[in-house]
Amino acid sequence: MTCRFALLLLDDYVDNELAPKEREALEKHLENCSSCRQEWERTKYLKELLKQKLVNDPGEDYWKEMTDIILARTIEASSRETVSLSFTEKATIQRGAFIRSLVSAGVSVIILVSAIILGTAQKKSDSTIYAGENRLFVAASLKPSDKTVTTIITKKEQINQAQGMLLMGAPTFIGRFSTIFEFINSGE
Amino acid sequence: MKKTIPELVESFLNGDEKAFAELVKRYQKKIYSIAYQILHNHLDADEVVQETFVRVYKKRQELKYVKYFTSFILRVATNYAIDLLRKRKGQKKITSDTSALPGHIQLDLSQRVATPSDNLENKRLMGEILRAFDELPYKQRLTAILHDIEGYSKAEIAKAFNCPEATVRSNLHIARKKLKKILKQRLKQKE
Repeated sequence: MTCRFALLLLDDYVDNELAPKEREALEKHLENCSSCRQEWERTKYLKELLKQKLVNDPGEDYWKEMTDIILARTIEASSRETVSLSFTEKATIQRGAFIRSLVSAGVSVIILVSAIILGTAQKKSDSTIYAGENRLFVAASLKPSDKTVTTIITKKEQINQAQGMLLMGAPTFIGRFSTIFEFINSGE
Repeated sequence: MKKTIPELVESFLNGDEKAFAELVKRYQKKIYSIAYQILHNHLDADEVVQETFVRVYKKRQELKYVKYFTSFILRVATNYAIDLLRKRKGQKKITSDTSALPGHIQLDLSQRVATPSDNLENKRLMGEILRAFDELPYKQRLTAILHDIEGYSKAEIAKAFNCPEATVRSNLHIARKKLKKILKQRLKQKE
């Protein structure tokens, strides 16, 4: 066995990982070669030296505390995992919200269009309500100052108007009553 | 009866948090020791231990495909320790003194120093060797720490680093060669 080959085997020899045949051959070489023997001694010494750890054990209290900290951190991480959503989940939620917004926008447009149609289709005459002989208010009056108005709406018409107001919503409802202020200001 | 590591991993995967706590108890000292030898200070070693287990917990789905838990946790720990080392080198804050250790540990160290002179000499020599470790490339350094100091087998290290055993052998050989050179110089000085 050459010194070069012997030196290559030294690490495995020190680690007790050599095959019996190689081991035997190396031991024979070490008996006869002082420089390889010295190298072997050094390798052995280094290995022994490294076994003495310089790291001090911080103590059992430290390890107990460390375990508690780690477990607390994992609980925290796990709760964050539950709250945080994956990209697919987020996309599904956002898609749902978008569809809901589209539907509500569509419904609003339908209500608006119906209000316009109903408003324009209404009879363009004044509707004045009387309590006995006293005129109470004019609903949907196009000419609030017209004193020739004498039309009295029937109960059925009143119900229809109320239903129309409910269907058309707040803006139309307010619009229908805006003439009241003009009526009041006219001093009647 | 004490559960084996694969049994604990299996229980942990089935949602048993106590099994995870047991894994922490069994590995925390080993991880601390490795991290301390890479980073040379208590606070960083402490951070490595915590972060290693938090990462293992988060990666628990991967554990289904992991055959050797020891190699897996070694890989997580050493990767984090090396990342931290690189970061610290950037910050130029690496210290190998004991100033960052809690009080009771410093006291413990001072008591340990009061040992026979040959032991003290060995500790000095060991200190020099550990400084020499810092000059080694990461893989060689880790291989020497894991194999010669921590006592892991070459097969375990190969699995941890995801490389052939021949690479581990070669890294170990180069690392030892460099360390022996220092040892040789020291022994010559002594003579």
